[in-house]
Amino acid sequence: MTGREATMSITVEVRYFGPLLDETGVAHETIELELPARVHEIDSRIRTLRTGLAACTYRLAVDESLKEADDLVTEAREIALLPPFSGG
Amino acid sequence: MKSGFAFHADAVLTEGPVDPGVVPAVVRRFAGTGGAGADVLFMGHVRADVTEAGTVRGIEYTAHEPMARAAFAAVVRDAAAGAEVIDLEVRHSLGYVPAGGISLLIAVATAHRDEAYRVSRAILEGIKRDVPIYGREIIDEETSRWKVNR
Repeated sequence: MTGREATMSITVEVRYFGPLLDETGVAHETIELELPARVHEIDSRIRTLRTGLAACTYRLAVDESLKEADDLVTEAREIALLPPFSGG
Repeated sequence: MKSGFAFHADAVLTEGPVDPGVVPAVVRRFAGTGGAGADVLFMGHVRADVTEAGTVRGIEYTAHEPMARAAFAAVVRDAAAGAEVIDLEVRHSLGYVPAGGISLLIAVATAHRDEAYRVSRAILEGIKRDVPIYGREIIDEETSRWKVNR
C-alpha cells in the first residue's frame, strides 16, 4: 500500500484449517479489515489477533483463490488460512 | 485434451469411508465403454500406524470444500491432458474413516496400460499437492495428531 488510495473498512470471515485449528481454537471468526491491502498486510493483521499463528506455515486464499504475499486485495468476503495439505 | 470422459467434481467428496461397492460398479462401467484396454485402480486405506502416542484408530478428514472441488477438477484436467482417457472416477473421504477403510479411490480407464498408470499417478500426486484436505489421525478420545504428507 502506498497510503494514497482511498480505503474502506469491511467485515470478512476468516477461516482456519488443519493444524491451525489447534492454535486458534476456532474454525472461523469475523474481523474488520482496511482494504485495499496487500496479502502480507492482511496476514500481519490476522497474526496480531491470533498470536498462536506466529510459528505456523500457511497460504492465504481470498474468496477461494490462493494468493501470493504481494498480491493486492481490493475486496473480500472470506479469507482462508491453508496450511500444507494432507489429503490422500 | 484428447479425452472424452465426463468428470463430476461435485461427486468426489464422500462422507465416511469410500464404499468398496463402488469398485465393481466402476469396473462394470469401464468394461461397458468397449474401448478400455487397461484399467488402473488405486485405493488408499487408512493405516493403523503405531506411533509414540499409540495406534492410529482412524483419520478425520476436513476440507475447504469449494476449493477442494475446484482443485480436483484442475488436477484431473491437468493429469488427463494429452492422454486418451476413456473413463475416470475419483472419490475422497470427508469425516471419519476407521483404520482399514478406503479414503481415496482413483480409477482410470485408457486404451493402453502406460497411460492408465501415468494418469492415475498424476492424479494421486496432484491431490496430495493441490487439494485443500486435512487429515487428523485419531489415536484415542483424547489424543490425535495432524497427518503430514510425505
